Amino acid sequence: MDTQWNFRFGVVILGDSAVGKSSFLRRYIDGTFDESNLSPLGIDFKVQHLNFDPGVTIKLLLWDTAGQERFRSISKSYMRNSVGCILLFDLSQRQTFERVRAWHREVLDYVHPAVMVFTLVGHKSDLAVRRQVRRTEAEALAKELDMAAYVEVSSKDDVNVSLAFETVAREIYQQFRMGRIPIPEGWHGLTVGSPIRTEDSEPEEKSHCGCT
Amino acid sequence: AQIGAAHDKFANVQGMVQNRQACLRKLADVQVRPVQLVAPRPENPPRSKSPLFSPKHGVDFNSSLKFSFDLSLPGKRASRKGSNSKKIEVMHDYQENRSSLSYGLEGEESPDLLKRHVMKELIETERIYVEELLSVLLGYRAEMDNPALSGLLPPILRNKKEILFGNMPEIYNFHSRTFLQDLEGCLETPEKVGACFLERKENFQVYERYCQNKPRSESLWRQCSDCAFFQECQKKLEHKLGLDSYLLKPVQRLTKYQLLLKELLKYSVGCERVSELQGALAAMLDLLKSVNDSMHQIAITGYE
Repeated sequence: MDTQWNFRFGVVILGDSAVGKSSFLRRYIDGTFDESNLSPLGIDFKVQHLNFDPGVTIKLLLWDTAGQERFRSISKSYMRNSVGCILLFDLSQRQTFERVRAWHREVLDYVHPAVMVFTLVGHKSDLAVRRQVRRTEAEALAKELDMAAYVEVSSKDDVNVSLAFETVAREIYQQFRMGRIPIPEGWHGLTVGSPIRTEDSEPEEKSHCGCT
Repeated sequence: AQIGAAHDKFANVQGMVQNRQACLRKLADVQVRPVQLVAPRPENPPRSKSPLFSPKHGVDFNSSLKFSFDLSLPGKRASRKGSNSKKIEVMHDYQENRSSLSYGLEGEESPDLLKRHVMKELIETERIYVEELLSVLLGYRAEMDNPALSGLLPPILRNKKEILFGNMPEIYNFHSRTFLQDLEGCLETPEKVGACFLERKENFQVYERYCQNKPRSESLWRQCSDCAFFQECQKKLEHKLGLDSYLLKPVQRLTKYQLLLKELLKYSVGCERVSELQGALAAMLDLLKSVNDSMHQIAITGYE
């Protein structure tokens, strides 16, 4: 049976080819990492439950877009049903960082007038010696584009993977509570589920979040 | 005295580990080259039970492992009072752990092995895909004709199966009756998979129609996504996600084949069937491009 949830957020994972979108999602969902990168098919979409404040369960609907980078009309099906976007670039491939601005613009143009909450992720932080993007410039870009945060992540070493997802979810939640995310008719990026209970009685089968 | 014994044991184990490392290193050295030289036709002795490891590897690991155990662990084995069969079991476990560990560490597998791995994933995900399509067709599409549920069905959905599901039955038939078997036939010979894609190029056109209908389907879905009928179906199917997610599956799947073909090509340098793989990749990319273009066209001109 489906776990009871109070909010459902659609989150799409975007970014250039080979920045590691599937590995990132796989690490988060399955807790695994394929060293030799033998799983090009990745996972298409997944569900994860998060608990924030006591009694608040958020159902994250996560969309992997690997393989669609060049086929934007296709990936738009996912953008349309998302309220959050994790934009990935590869810290060891400068050009993938240079493309962040274009991705951001394109998504905003497409979902307009709906709101999209972004988190910028510098991926493959384990490749420290091959780093081509400084943390400060990535942070500056995230700030300039009004993103929720910039996080450096290694799916290989499992560093900050959950943090990235939790950050975007938390930001969506807060913005919604502040009334900044309207829900237009027929849009399913953010859905309100069962009302929030004051006491947190039943333990979640798949609670993932240790943050408060 | 106990400390001494423990010391001895520790030294023993250390020696064993070193032996083992040396063996594995030697193996790794020997393996990479011969496999590449012999490349096109790996022999297939009957002992190819494990799909993950080629028979060659399995045999080698077994024998070398036994060797190192025999050398370094006579004392330990005697003290373990285990029967022969038990001993073999233990060794087997050990072997599996070690071999997977060494793969992880070295990160260098033979191209044949890598190709098999990709092929295995393709087949496994294809099976899941076929199952999921079937669950949608039975759990939603067929239920629209179920008299017991007709009370829940909103009027706007009546006789709209074709719009909501498009030609999903056709896609299902193609994959379940034809393509899955094609792929399964390539498990041992991944390089032949290029020919499969080329041979079924026409069949893949079903996706074009599916995607062209997608915007119409989505707009219908938006009008009735909250209705009790869908909730009931989803509950029965125990799906975590709603029908809209499953209606995207074919689109999602179509974008994945090209990734897999690219991956296979990476490990097929110099293979004789490489041009077929390239042809298959080009065909899949072409199809994606035309699907993408038509979705773009529809997004501009209508239905939404």
